[in-house]
Order: sequence, then structure tokens, then C-alpha cells
Amino acid sequence: MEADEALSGREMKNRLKVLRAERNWSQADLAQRLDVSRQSVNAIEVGKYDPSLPLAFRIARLFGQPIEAIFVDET
Amino acid sequence: MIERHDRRAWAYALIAVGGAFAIMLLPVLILGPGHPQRTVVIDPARIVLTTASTVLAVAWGSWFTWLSFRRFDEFLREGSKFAWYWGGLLGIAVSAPLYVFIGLGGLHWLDPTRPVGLELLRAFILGYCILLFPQALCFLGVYVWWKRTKR
Repeated sequence: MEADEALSGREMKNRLKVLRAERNWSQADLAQRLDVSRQSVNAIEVGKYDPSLPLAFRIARLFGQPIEAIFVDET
Repeated sequence: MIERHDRRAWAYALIAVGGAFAIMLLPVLILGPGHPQRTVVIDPARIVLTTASTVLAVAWGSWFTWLSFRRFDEFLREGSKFAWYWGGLLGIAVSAPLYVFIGLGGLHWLDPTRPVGLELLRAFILGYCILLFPQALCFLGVYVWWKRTKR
């Protein structure tokens, strides 16, 4: 959650929006492929929510890239 | 707008709340509306039936709330946990000074027509504690259980 991030002082960036745009997918399309809500996709894209490891792996598998190529720890 | 992904979760939540209210109404349908003069009459049948229907309503509500929670994705689950934890704590924090104010006769001080007395004070303290202590104990119990399962 955002409050947790503020406490830990870390910031996680991701390339989800770029990868999605490259495939011409809407947030709803991506949400459906990941079996999550569109709100979740939006929150992850804007960096307000860090996904769990299982969801991060699902995202990585969907885009055919390693997790660290999608999520970048900028501390 | 409710997303397709959330519709089932909201449906379960509505069934949880609506069903629980319907079950709570059963004693009124069976025994009638009670005492319109607001007098306290000890009616064993009403006490047993209403308590039993409350247990049933809580079980119903808990089951469908659990089904609703399972339909949430992890983002919504985190939001729900965050809101229950911090919102619940905030509610307790807000209630503490209100509890002291009312317990010391603050309502009677503001409005002298309101009744005051030892029996009322005892009932008020009991009502407050009946909400607070089970909540605190269950929090502690679930937290200890959670930590033990993660060892």
C-alpha cells in the first residue's frame, strides 16, 4: 500500500503501461488476462500498489519477460 | 460503475447483509413486534428465539462475506484489510473520549432532561465493553494464530 511505501521509503517503478500500450490493450483487456480488476491494473501502473509475487509472476509470464525487466526497485 | 469482475463479490455481500436482516426479522414474524410501550418484559421464548436467530444471522453473514471476500482480487483484499484495520482502530480511538464523556454524565450535563443513574451507567459501560473486548481479544487471537502459522 502507499502508506507502507511511505514508511519504508522505497519506490517501485514498472513498465506495465508501456508493455500494455505496445500490444494495444486497454486496462480492462489486461485485467481480464490477469484475472484481476481494472482498478488493480490502474493502481499498479501508476505505482500506487505493488503486486504480490504470484501476480508479478503472472504479469511476467503474460509479457514473456523476467520480473526485473518489468518492475524496477528505485531505492 | 461496478466491474464485471466485482459483480459476484457485491452480489455475495448483498446476500450476506440482506439475508442476515431477514433472519433477524424471523422472531418478529413468529412472535409479533414485542412491546409497543417500550416496557421491559422478560419473555424467555423471545430471548431464546431472537438470540438463536442472531447466531444464525451471524453465521449466514459470515459465510457470504467470506465468499464475497474470496471473489475480490488481491488489490481489493488489501484495501479491505487496510480499511478494516486502520478504520477500526480510528473508530476505537474516536470512541474513547466519547465513552469517557458519556460515562461521566456528559449527555445529562448537555441536556438535563436525559435520564442519569448508576444502572444506566452500568448498562452503558457493559454495552461499550461488549463491543470493545471481544474485538480486541479476537484481534490478539488471530494475530497469534497468524504468526504461529508463518513459522
